[in-house]
Amino acid sequence: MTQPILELRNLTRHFDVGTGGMFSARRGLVRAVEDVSLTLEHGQTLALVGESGCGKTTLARMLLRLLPPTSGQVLVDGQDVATLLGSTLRAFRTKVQAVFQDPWASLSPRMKVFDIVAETLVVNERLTKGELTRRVDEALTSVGLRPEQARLYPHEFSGGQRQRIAIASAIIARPKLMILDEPVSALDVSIRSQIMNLFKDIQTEYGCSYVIVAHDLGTTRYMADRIAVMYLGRLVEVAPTDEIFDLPRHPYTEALLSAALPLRPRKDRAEAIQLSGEVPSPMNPPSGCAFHPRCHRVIDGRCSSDIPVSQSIGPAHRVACHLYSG
Amino acid sequence: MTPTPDPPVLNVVNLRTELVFGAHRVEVVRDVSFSVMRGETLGIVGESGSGKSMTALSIMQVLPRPIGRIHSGEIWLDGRNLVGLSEDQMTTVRGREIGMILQDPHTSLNPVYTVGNQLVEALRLNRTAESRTLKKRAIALLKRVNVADAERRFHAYPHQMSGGMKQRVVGAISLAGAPKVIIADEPTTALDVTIQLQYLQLLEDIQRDTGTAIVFITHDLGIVARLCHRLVVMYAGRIVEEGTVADVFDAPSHPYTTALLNSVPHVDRKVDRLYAIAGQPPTLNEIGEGCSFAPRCPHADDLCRTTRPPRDPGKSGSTDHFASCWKLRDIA
Amino acid sequence: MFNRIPFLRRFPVIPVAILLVVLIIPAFFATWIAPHDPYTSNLRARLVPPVGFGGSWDYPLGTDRLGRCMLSRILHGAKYALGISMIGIVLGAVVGTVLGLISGYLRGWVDVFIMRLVDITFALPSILLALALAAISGPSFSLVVIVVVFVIWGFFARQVRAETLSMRERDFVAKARVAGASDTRIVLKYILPNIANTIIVLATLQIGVVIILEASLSFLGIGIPRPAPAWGLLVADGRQLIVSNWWISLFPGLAILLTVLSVNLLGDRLRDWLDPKLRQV
Repeated sequence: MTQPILELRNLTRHFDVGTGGMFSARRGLVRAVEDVSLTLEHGQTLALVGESGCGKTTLARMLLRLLPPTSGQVLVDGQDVATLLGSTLRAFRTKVQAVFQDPWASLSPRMKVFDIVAETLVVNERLTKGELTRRVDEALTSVGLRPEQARLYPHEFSGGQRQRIAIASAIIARPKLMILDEPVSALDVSIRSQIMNLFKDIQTEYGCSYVIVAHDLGTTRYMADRIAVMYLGRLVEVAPTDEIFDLPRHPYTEALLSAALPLRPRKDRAEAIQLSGEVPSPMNPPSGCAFHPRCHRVIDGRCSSDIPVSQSIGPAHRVACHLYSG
Repeated sequence: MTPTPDPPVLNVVNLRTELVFGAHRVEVVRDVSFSVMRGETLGIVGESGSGKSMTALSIMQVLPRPIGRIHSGEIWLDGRNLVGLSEDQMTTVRGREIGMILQDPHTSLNPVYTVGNQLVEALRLNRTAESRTLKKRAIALLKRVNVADAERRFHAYPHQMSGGMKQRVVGAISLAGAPKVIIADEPTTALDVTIQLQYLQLLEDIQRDTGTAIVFITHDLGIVARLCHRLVVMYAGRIVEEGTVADVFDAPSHPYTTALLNSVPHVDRKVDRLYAIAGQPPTLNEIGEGCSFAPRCPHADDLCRTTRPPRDPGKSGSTDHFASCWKLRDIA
Repeated sequence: MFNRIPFLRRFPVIPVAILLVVLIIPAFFATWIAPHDPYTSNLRARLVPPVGFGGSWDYPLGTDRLGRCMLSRILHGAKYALGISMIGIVLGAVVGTVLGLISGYLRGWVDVFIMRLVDITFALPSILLALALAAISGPSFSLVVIVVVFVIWGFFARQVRAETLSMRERDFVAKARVAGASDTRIVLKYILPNIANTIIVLATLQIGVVIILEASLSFLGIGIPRPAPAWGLLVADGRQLIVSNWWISLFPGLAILLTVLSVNLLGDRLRDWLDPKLRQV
């Protein structure tokens, strides 16, 4: 068996937060990510799905080594990213790249497109000016921009074009893994499919792997090979995309999918499962299975007291729910 | 469908709205007409620069000052033309006859007053309840929008509530005047999907109970399919297609509508490759004489680029389905 | 064409003209445009009033007790006002910006330490500090610069820290970190250029403060040492004669007033144009 590009082992991140006012000694612990284990094979796309506060953004930041885990490990190509130093860290920085949600926030307004796109190479590799220019031209061309646009500033571009610049700067070092944090949700509807197709083309061309964080289920169905559903910091279900859409096992996944709105007039649609209440605060999660107060298939007694363990219910399909244990 | 005997509650006729920057004028709503019946939900679909939000602001007459103004057109609300009313008269129309729900619940509520205060204030302004019963009415409204534990929430401040809860309160405030029309401008964009579904369900329930008309502005075709009876599709300030949701989704007749429907990924089936509309949405000052979509349209020819297409019956054959495209009959 | 650049559309003609006439041209060209040497006294022409008040065009703004030309002294005084404010503000801005960047970027105890330092300098009366320093080393040009830097660096440090705190959370900084940029590179290439406008506006707004400070110190005799014709000294010179020979204090005072007023008007306009969010400062 080959080494996966990415492996998460019991990854956990807690945040210490003050809950009262400035002079309050009350402290709280937010369990943003709790005991998440996952793998991603080369050339595959994994989607992290969940609602606000589910920990998917914190998880993405740990993958990028922007945030150290409280416990657990992130392994890229079998190497624990927390231990990287010097040249291995530089290698990691060219191997893993990111594209963020808002193309107005992710490009420095004071830098020219050339400098934005070239940054990873400038920082990590010694290249001649000519070589650098060639690589920038190549990156811009492969995202559908013209090389001469490198002299412009970001404000001279539209949202979709700016996201292309961000993508060019991510692919210039030919990364093996890209973390895409809501990469299309800030864009106009007619631009989204352009960008999603671009990601697919890049994957075909460069063979890189994606971790995509998204709340739009249509986007994840189109982009991902596997989907990991998170709720209040925990992984509740992981499975191949088609399996999760066709036969969701965890009640939360079920509810999430039925809340998605298909492009069909309502007359020929099944009634959706409506969840009651809202996502509880991650600072004070419910006992047992964190989903039990909103669950439509709750088992009395058990769900409110025991935390369900993740278990395999099929090849590459894992779920953490008492319905499937014992 | 049999023709409805009632006149429409809201009837917008040939509305033109412009933004004026010194000597420079940009028309953001270009000759837009539509109507909404009592108890009906109309979706206005478009992307940035389509003029959908400007249309809403024009109806409420809260265009950005001092640059925005209605150039011409009529906005009939229950038999009265709102265009030309004084600001005082509009103030009584807003809130009492038209309710508004905006995209961001965080900025729609005043952070320094309790939710109860703001609701009571809205009720008082609308003079729909006696002062003794104001609080009772306010709590009833909170219960109406499914705010759990309404008596306690009455005393809460906006920052103590989640986004979904706040958007419910905004909904309650917009209901305070028992409005004839509610204009909702992307009210669920900031909400999570499960909360969004709850909210759409709430709007439906309210409409069933009160018979209010809803104008729902969105870029999300999934929401339109779920919630709306009819829709208009806007592009670069113009309506390019209008009809019932079933007709437009089953027989999209404008290339933009078709492209939009094909470019959105489906949740209920896997596609190998999405259709991508070429180019960028136009900025408003680069729109020419002809069809606004022509620069991005695969079927466009010289006629499309130079002459504005007429409003023709759509492909479904229904009497209330229209599209503005020269190639309507040519494209299979 | 000018209409496309907001700053030029409402170009502040009057403040700029006043500044040129009162401060900038004299500071550089006083030697050539002043009618007399500012230090040469003419004992036969002591306390001559200005033109129109019994004086002549020989001494347009009159003379002081030693018969020195007031116009020439004011024109030469401009270079002290300009020199002190330029040097003092550049140094103060550099110190404040560097410490503000460190404070906002590193946070933690470094941040707490630097911000307490700012609080202390704001709490300490600057005149008192100048008096103490002058008592030790005697009044000098560099002493004024030190006091100016001491008084203004905190404004820069606070504002730069606040902006750095918000900049470091921006996605483009996260993106730079993902690309492998070092902390120094992030601060210099990503954060500093994006807060440069703030620093420029703040510096302009400080010019008025500094000119008044320099004048006050000179007026008290702990600023620019005599016989240099610094404006504050000129005002002080005329103090005892203010009733009989009012022009000695009035004209240098007017020079200070016009300069500070114009600089502040200019700073306001610059702020609206470059950095509207500074409006509460």
